[in-house]
Amino acid sequence: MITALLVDDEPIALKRLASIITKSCPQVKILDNAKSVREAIEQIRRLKPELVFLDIELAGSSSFEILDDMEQRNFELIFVTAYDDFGIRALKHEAIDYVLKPINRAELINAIEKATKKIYQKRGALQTPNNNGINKPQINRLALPTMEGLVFVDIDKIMYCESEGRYTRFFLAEDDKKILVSKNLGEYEASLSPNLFIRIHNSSLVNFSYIEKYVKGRGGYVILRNGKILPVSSRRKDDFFDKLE
Amino acid sequence: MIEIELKAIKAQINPHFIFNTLNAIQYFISNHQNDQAENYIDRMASLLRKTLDFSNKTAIFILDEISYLENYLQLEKLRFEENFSFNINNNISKEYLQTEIPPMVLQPHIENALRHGLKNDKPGIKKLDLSFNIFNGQLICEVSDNGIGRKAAAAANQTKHIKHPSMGIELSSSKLLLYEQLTGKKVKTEIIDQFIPGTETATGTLIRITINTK
Repeated sequence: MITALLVDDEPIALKRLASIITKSCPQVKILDNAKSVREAIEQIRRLKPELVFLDIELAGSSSFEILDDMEQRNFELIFVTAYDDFGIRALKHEAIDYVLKPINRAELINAIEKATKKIYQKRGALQTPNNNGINKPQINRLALPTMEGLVFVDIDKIMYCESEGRYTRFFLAEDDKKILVSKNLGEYEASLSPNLFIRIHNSSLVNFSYIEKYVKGRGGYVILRNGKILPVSSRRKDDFFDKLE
Repeated sequence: MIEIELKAIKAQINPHFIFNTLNAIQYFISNHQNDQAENYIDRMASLLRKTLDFSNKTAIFILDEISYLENYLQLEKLRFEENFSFNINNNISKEYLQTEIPPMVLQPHIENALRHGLKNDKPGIKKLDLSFNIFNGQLICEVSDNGIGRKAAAAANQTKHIKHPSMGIELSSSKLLLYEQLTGKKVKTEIIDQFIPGTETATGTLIRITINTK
C-alpha cells in the first residue's frame, strides 16, 4: 500500500484523478486532497504521503512553491497538468513523470507503476538488516516450483506466462530467461492479478507493465516492449478492457 | 490598413482552458454522467465555433459577445463547482443590442479575474459580476470580482514561477485602440481597485470599458 496526496485547485480534476486511481491502482491509498499551495504544504507535513500528484498552477500560484518550501523531499512526485511547457523544471525536481491533461489513463497508470516500484525500492533500502538474521519475506517475489526445486523471481520482472498443458512457462525480462513450472496457469492468475497481470487468452497471462501496444482486431493482440506479440482472445477482450479501466 | 491589423489580432482562447475542460468531460464520461458530458461538449463546441467565427471579424454585436461570455463562464463554473458563482446583468434595451464592439475584448479581463483575482487562496465563494448598460449613448461594460485585489495579486505573481504576460489583455487593449481609429468611436478602459471605504482592505477589482455607440 502506497499513501498519496492529490493536489489540484479544480474539484472536478481531483475527482477525475481519484476515479482513475481507485479503479486501476488499488495499491494506492488516497489520504486527502489539497486545493492550494498553503493546504498542500500543511497536508504534506501532517500526513507524510509517499506519493504526491501535483498540478502546476494552483489557485493563482505555482506548485513549484511547495517544492521550494521543502528542505528535503520525502515523497515521489507525479505532475498532472494541462501545461506542456514545464517539463524541464519538473525534470529538475526529479519527478517520476509528467502527465498531461486531459489525462490519458494508460499514461497515468504507467506513471503510478513507476512510482510504485521506486517507493518499494526505497522502503527496501531503508530496512536495516536486523541482528536476528531473519529477513522479512519479500511480498514482491514469487517462488516457482521447478524440476530442481524452487526458483525465486521478482514479480515485476515477469513479462508474461504461457500455459503448456498442465505446466506454465514464465518469461522474464532479464536475459530472455524462461522457467517451466509444474503448475497450471490458472493457479497463478489469482495470485498475480493484484500485481496487474491480465489473462488475455486461455493460454497467456501478461504483466500490464510490459504491454506497449494493443492492436485492434476480433480479439486483437498486444505487443510487448520486447516486440513479442500475444493474441487477445475475443472472449477475453472485454475482460481485458475492464481491467484497464 | 487598420482593418487588416485589427483582423490580424486573432481572437484567442487559452489552450489550458480547453485541455482542463476536456479533462472534466472525461470525468463525466468515466463516471457515466452522460447528460453532463453531452451538455459540456455542446458548450465547448459552441465556444470553439464562435471563437473561430469571431477571429475573422473586426466587430460583433454586443448581444453575441454577452452570450459568448455566458457560455464561457458556464464552462469555467463546471470546473470550480460550488466555489464560484457569476451573474450577468444585461440592462441593454432592444434598440442597442446590435451595438458593435470588437470581439473578445472582455474575455481576457474575465479570465484574468478568474486566474488572479479570484483563484487565489481566499476563503468564501468567489463571485464575478458582469453588467452591461447604455448611458448617454455610451455602452458601459463592467466586470467586477470579489477577489484579493490587484496589489495582492501582483505580489502573489512576483513570488510565482509562472510568468503570464497578460497577453490577452494586451491584445484586448490594442484591439480597442485600433477599433477607435477605424470607426472614430471613442473607447475608454478603466481599472478600479475597490476597498472597504476608509481602509486599505481590498474587496476586489472593477474593469470598466466604455464605448461610444455613435
